[in-house]
Amino acid sequence: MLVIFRWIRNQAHPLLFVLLLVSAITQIFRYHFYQHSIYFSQALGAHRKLDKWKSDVKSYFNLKVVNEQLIAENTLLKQQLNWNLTYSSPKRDTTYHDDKTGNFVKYEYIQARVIRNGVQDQNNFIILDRGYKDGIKRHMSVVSPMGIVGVVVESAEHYSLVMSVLNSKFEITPYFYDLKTSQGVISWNGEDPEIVDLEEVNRFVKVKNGMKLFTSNYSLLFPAGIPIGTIVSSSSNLKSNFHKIKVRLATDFGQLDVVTVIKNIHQKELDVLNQSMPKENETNNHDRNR
Amino acid sequence: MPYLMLFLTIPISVNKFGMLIGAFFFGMTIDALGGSMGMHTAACVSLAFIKYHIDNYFLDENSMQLQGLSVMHEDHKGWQWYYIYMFSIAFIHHLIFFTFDYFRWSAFFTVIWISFTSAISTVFFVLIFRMLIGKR
Repeated sequence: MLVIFRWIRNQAHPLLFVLLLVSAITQIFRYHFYQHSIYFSQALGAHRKLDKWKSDVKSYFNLKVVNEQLIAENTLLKQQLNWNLTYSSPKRDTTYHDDKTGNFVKYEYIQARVIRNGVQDQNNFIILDRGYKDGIKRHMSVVSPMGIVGVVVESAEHYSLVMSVLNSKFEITPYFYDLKTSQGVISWNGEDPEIVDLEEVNRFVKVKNGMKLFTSNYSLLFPAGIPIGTIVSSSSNLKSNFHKIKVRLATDFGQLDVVTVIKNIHQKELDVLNQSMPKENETNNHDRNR
Repeated sequence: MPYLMLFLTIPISVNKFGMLIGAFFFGMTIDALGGSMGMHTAACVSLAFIKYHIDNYFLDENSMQLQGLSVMHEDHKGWQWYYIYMFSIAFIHHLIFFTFDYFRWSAFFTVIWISFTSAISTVFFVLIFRMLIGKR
């Protein structure tokens, strides 16, 4: 307090000057219409700018809440997506019925956060913060807002292990949206975490750079129509019957955060049917998600 | 605005606070008479504040006491310094006055030019007054 008084006493001359000048300027703004209007519009603009800053800061601190609201809304919207809807069953099987929206659905969605993620190894795995207590089980597919992420291989009580696309054992058949066909096998060669290989595509398929690939409707795990990636290069020669295609993944595995675990409501039946299917060759890979 | 002559005739030994307050009421009087509320007040108050620093910069108080002078005079440092002193005071006053008068950035150079020419004419008027009234 004493310091303030001392400061005021030492700076009395400038302070008195500022006081008198402010009172003079107040008079100017008060009695002169032109100066008043300029001052008023400037003050209004500054006020508006301040308001904008304030709301920007406020919305920044609101982002977390907004984010969670968006996640919830996205889940709700996904329930109503086309690829989720199924034909109403002839016998009115109520297991398909979704109470919230009144639609007949094939999939359920569980939101999860990635808490461990890697792209360096040959076989990468992701750990999610939801486990079987939240309904996550083996063979459920995991997608992010950008595209596919992987398949759940193990689930603990509160956490689950996901085999990422960036895993040499992961394979999936893409759907060529431009050609309306599903062909080939996508797998990762362990080099670039943004690029995967697409093999076993017939040489006579007219592949072009920039074609978009989606999950196919023949997949038993993934719903159809989820983005996989874009073709960046393709080459073929007469010696081989197949293209050699490089695909840029839609998902950026470096910035995974919120992912959706997709649960097929009747996965058990599918598994049983799958096992009872007469196997032609014994080399059939269990993790092959055709 | 030859009333600036009043500022030139105030002794430098006068109280700086009294100078500020006096300038304020002086400017307000001129404003009330001329109908330009606040403008001369702002200019005079600013001038009174700045003149204190200008005096410290331009004038040598000890030699002025020896010469028996209480205000800036030609005898103090020669007539060149006297005119520079007078011109800078007039220029600062006019600059502040016209800044508030025009009050927009687009008139920046106009304000400087008008202040310059007005300061010169003010110095001219002050000289004529001095010739008419006498050299003190």
